[in-house]
Parts: sequence; C-alpha cells; structure tokens
Amino acid sequence: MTVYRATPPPHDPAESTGRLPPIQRKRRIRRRRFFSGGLGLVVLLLLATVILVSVYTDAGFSPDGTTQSTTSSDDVPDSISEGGPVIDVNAEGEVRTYGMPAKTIALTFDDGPDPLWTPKILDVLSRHHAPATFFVVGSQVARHPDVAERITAEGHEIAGHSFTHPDLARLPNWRREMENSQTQLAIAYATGRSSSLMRPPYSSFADAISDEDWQTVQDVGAQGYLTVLDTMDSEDWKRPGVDAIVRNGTPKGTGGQILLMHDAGGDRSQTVAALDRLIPEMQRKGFRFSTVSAALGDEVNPAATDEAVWRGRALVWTVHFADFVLDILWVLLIVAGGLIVVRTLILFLFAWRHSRHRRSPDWSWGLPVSAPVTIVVPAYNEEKTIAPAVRSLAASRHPNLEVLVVDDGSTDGTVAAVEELGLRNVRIVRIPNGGKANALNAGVALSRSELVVMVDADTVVEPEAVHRLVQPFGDPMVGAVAGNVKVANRGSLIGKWQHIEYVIGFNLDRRLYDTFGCIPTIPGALGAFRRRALTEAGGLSTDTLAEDTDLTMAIHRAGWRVVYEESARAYTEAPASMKQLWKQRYRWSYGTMQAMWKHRHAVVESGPSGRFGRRGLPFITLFSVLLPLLAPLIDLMALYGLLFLDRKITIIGWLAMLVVQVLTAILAFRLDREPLRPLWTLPLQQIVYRQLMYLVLLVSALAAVTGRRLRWQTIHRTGDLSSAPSPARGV
Amino acid sequence: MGKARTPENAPTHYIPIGSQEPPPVFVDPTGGRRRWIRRTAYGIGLLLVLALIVVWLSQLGGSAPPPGRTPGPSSAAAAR
Repeated sequence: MTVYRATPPPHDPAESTGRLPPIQRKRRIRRRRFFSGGLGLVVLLLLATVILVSVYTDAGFSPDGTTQSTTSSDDVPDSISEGGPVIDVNAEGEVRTYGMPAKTIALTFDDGPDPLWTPKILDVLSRHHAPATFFVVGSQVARHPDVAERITAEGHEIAGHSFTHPDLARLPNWRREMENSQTQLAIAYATGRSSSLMRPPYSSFADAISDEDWQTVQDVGAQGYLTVLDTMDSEDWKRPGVDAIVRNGTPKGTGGQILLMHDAGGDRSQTVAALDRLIPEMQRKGFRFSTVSAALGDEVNPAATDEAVWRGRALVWTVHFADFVLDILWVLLIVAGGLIVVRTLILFLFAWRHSRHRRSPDWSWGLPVSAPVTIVVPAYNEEKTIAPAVRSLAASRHPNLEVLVVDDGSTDGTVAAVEELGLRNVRIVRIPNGGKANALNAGVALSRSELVVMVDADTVVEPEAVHRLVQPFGDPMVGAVAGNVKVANRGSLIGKWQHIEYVIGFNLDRRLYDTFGCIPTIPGALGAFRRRALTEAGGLSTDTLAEDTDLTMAIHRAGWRVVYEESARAYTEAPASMKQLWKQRYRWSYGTMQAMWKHRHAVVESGPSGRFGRRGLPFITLFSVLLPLLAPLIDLMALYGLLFLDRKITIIGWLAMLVVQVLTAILAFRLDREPLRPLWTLPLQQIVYRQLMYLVLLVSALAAVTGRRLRWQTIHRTGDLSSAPSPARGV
Repeated sequence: MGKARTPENAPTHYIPIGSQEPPPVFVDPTGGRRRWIRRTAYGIGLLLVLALIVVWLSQLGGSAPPPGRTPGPSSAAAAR
C-alpha cells in the first residue's frame, strides 16, 4: 500500500518542525523528546511504586514461617526459655521477663483487623466488659483503619504484629525495623496511638524460642519493643470446634495467662462463639481480664506523635492508592480478556459462515459484470515498482479495460518507466503535485467508465483480480468493493509478520465486517468503486491521512453497500524495516481515528448514515481502537504474574492466549488456502511486533488528543515483489 | 495550445485539482490545545513526582520508634 507524500502543509509555527531553522528545530524536537520521556518516566515510576507497594503489602516479599530452618536453642538463655511470656531486652542487653499477675487473663488476638470478624469479637468483648489486646498486622490496619480505631476506642489495647506477617527470623534486621516502623505508623494514623508491644509472627511459647527467634527478640528489644509471647494457645486457627477452643482457653490453676486467639485469617465464627462462653465462665471463676500493658502496669497505647500520624497517613493513602490502581488494572484485564474471547468466537463463527456462503455453488452477486473499467493508479516517485504494477494491471482479463496512471508530479523516472512499457491500454496523465487523494480525484475525473478500480503503484494483481473485483457490482446496491491484499515481500521476518497480519485481517476481520455491513476501509492497494457512489460521497478528501477509510465511511453513509471480494487478490510491497512499518502504521491508526471522528455525527443521523453510525462505528471503535488499547495490559499482567504471582498459572494463561491466536491464524490461512509455514514466526510476533503495534496506537491517540499534525511520509521502496504470482514478476 | 484533442463525445470541462479542502481532522492550528494539555500534563506530572517523593521519604526516612516506656513494670506484674 502506497504511503504517499502530499504537498507540504501551510507553515504552522506551533506544530511543524519541518520549516524551522535547524537549531530551533533541533531544540523543539529535543523539548518534545524531553517532555514525552519525562512523562513516560513518571508513569513508569508511579507504576513501579504501585506494584512494589501492593506486592509488599500482600506479603509478596515476606517469607512465611511454616517451616522452621533450625530447631536448636543452644544460644537461648535459660532465663528466657523458662521465663515469662513478656520479654524485655533493653539496649544494654539486660534481659528480663514478666508474666501476668495471678487470676488475670490477657486475651490476645493476632492477625487482624478483619472487617468482618474483628467487629464481632469486639461486640462479644464489650458485652462482657472484657478488655483484650489486639496484635494487628500493619497492612491490614492500613486497609481497615476504621476497625483499628474501634479497637482502641472501646478500651482495648492495640499492638504490632509486623506489617506483612513475615517470619521475622528470616529477614535482615533493616526489614524487621521497617516492618515494625510501618506498623507503628499505620496504627498512629488509624488510632492516633502508639504501642511498645510487639508479637513476632509465628511465635508461640517462651520455651519454643529457637536461636534464630532469640536473635529477632534481641533485635526487636534493641528497637525498644517488648516481645509478647503467650502461655496458652486456643488453637482456634485449626477450627477445632467451640468446645475445644473453650477447653484450650481454660487455664489450669489460678496463674495469670496470655491466651492466643485470632480475629482474622478465615472463618472465625468458632472463636466468636467460644469467647461468648469462655469469658463469663472465667469471670465466674474469679479471673479478671486485662490488656497486656495494663497487667504489666504500663501505660496502654500512649498518644502517637504528630509526625508518626502524618507519616502513617502517607503510608495508608499509598496502600489505598496502590490497591485501587491494581483493582482497576485487574478489572480492565478481565474486560479485555472477555472481549478478546468474544471477538475470537465471533470471528470464527462469522468468518467461517461467510466463507461457506461465498463458496456455495449457487452464490452469485447478480448478472456477470463486463462493463468498461478504468484502473486509476496514482504514482509519486514510484519508478521501481510502477512497471510491474502497470504491466500486471494492463494484462488483466477483463473486456474493455483502461489503465490510467496519474503521475503526481514525480521527480524521478516514473513517467518514463510507464512509457517504456509501450502498452496500448495504458494512459498516463501528469498533474502538479497535490497529494494522493487529489491524484485519485483527478484520475476519476479524467476517466469515463462507470466502474473505477483504484490500485497502488506498488501493487501487482493476479490476472483475474480486476474482473473478479467488479463482479459484486452485479448487485445494484453495491457501491464499493474491497479486494484481498497480500504481502509480496515475505522473505524477512518482518515481512512474514505482516503477511500473517494481512491474512488474518483480510480473511477474518474483513469477513466479519462484511457480514455486519460495516467494512471500515477499502484498501488503497485494491478497491473498486461505482462512479455514482464516489460522486455521492464527495470523492476523496485530504482532511484525513486515511483517505481510503474516510471515503469508505462516506460511501456507507450515502447508503451504498460496501462488500469484500476475497477472490480478487493483489500483492503489495509491505514496509521492509521497523522504522518504515512504524511510520505506515502511525499514519493508518491516526488516519482511522481521524476518519471515525470526522464521521461521528453519523451516530445521531437518520437513514443509512445513522444505520452505519450506530452499527458500524461502535463496532469499529470497539474492535480496532479500544481492544488494542487494552492489549498491553495482558503483557503487563503476564509480567506481573510471572514475577509475583503463581508462575505456572501465569505461563499457562499466556500460552492459552497464544494457542487461541494460533488457532485464529490457522483458520485464516486455511480460508485463504495459504501454506501454514510462515506461522512458525507467530510466537515471536507476540514479543516484538505486538508491542510495537499498540505503542503505535497509543502514540497516535496521543497525537490526536494534542492536535499534532501528522504528515504523509514517503516510504522507501525496494521493488521486492518476490512472493507475487509469477506472471507479474520479472522486472 | 489549441492542438490538444478531446474525445469527440466528451464535453470539455475544468477539473479542479488541489482545490481548498477543509482543515485536517484533529489538527489544532493555533497550538492552544496542545499547550494546554502540555501544561496540564506537566502539572500533574510534577504533582505525582512530589507525591512519590513524599511517600518514599516518609517510609524510608528513618524508622518510627515505639514510645518510651515508663521505667519497669510495676510490682503488680510478677517477674518470673
């Protein structure tokens, strides 16, 4: 498909850099690069922070303590192993342990706050006037600050249980400090209080302390915390039944106890029920309930400093923001995934039906069409490709056919190349340079036939192509016909990728659009028009860069049918380098957006225009703009899953997507009777090509929003048409 | 030059080439929209950077210590 240079746009100081003096131009380009680079960097930093925070708060960096690495306790002093459940190691390394006073039970709840179970437990506690101590996980406090606030508001004690519930013994000291500090901050923001108590995750009785745990206790002590273990384990996390929990929580004798329970981590209904029995029973036996600090004679939760509250606010807001962004990403991912599945199903179904319909023996467009045809070939500096293109067109098997080459002020040997061919049914006209749309309009105006075929100067056609292409005009409602365009230079990887893309695009997408009567584009490489349809649509215009899409939409709106004739095949030279490809696609997607925006009023109009506006435009927007814009999410989330989630599931999910694509591609290739061999490049396509394609879409969407002017760019031609059918070969 | 021959059955008429067309879609010739978007984006970007800096500093700028404790538990707590 020819990418064509138009007349330079009028000088526009705000936008174009083309006519500025070199220094200013360089400066402006540098400023643009700086601008987009800086913006990209900020977005990247933001995303990195969001991911880091959410992974951290979801304990993605926290080793769990279900398997202990050592059980040796040689280094643990006897005074600890046999001492009380509260361990105080001061800065000088002096060790003291305390227990609860006699007939005192300190109820302790780990792992909260939980939005469902903590309030229920608080209800039971307040009913029985029993204060308790809640060892909260900082990240949970950040997510449910209101529950944490209720804990202290009702006279209970709140204390730290780390930020992400890791096995502290397996973390470096700086991480332990960070965990405790952030928990302190989260508590400060949620409740306005502070706490000097701390219970390490996965801890139990004092006599179960291993060497590693002892190191943790010493470090935590040096930070200024009292380590609070327990003397009785209700084992409520096993959900052993209410009776068992009550039994486990009933002390033997009258000694003071610290009872371990849980208010989070799954269904805690047994804990709630057990508490409702345990507390009154113990109160009847003469036990009193106390918070840990009160029992030790310490102040319960002194007020936090303002600084801690502010820092806590920053922390909690960050966690909320990260959760929010990630939730949105997941929702978008699910929407995108759903859309892709729906789209694939629709494609399969309708492409297959379309193909079966067209191949059935009694299918015909109407009476055979043999009316005169003019083939308009616009050309600007196409000396390398124009000769084979014109030769193949002139040799087309259609009665009464004329080729009209419109030379748009070429500065190379384009005209000479055509004249050298010496073909009788080829006419050449030269017009001043005015752009492709202008050249096509001139060609249409200079031709006399009712049927006009437009072919790019870098495209060779099969001998039957033109005849087949005009057959749909047997139906008087048909105003324009799209041909089947194939990539001629498939030797390179990039050529193969485009070949795959073209085959899928023309055999699945276009068949689907054809079924729904909303083909968005008659490709410039091969399309046929009824003159009346062209006139009613107002010809080609220059206000969009995709004049073919613009024209097709205008023809739709004028009430004509636009159809696809898959048997009319043409071979075009696709861009051969990434840079050329980028330019071409940039123009296509920007042009498509322009065309859709230009025809947006069709949505509210009546008649055929409204029909296209309400049926075709949303369909095209959804499948060719919104869906590709969501596609990067799949890669992003795959990367996220690979790094932080279940790797196996992520890989399976990604491979499933690939299989769906391979199946889609195989169907397309079968429908077009193409050999399947180039499909081996499909897995590779996922890694480079796809990202390039949505980057193009993103950049062109940005260009559209900012109102930047895009211009036609010349594409460098090599004249490589190696995969075109052989009669057309041989330059 | 008066020598060019037209097809006998075709009347001679003018074909307008390169006539004035409406301005391109999306393009904002004054650059006002672009400037506005750029300034807004700069503003938002700056705010985001500031927020990021605040967040990172607040979390990594030294750890928050626990409150100083009153010297030793009272006699009510039985030292073991």
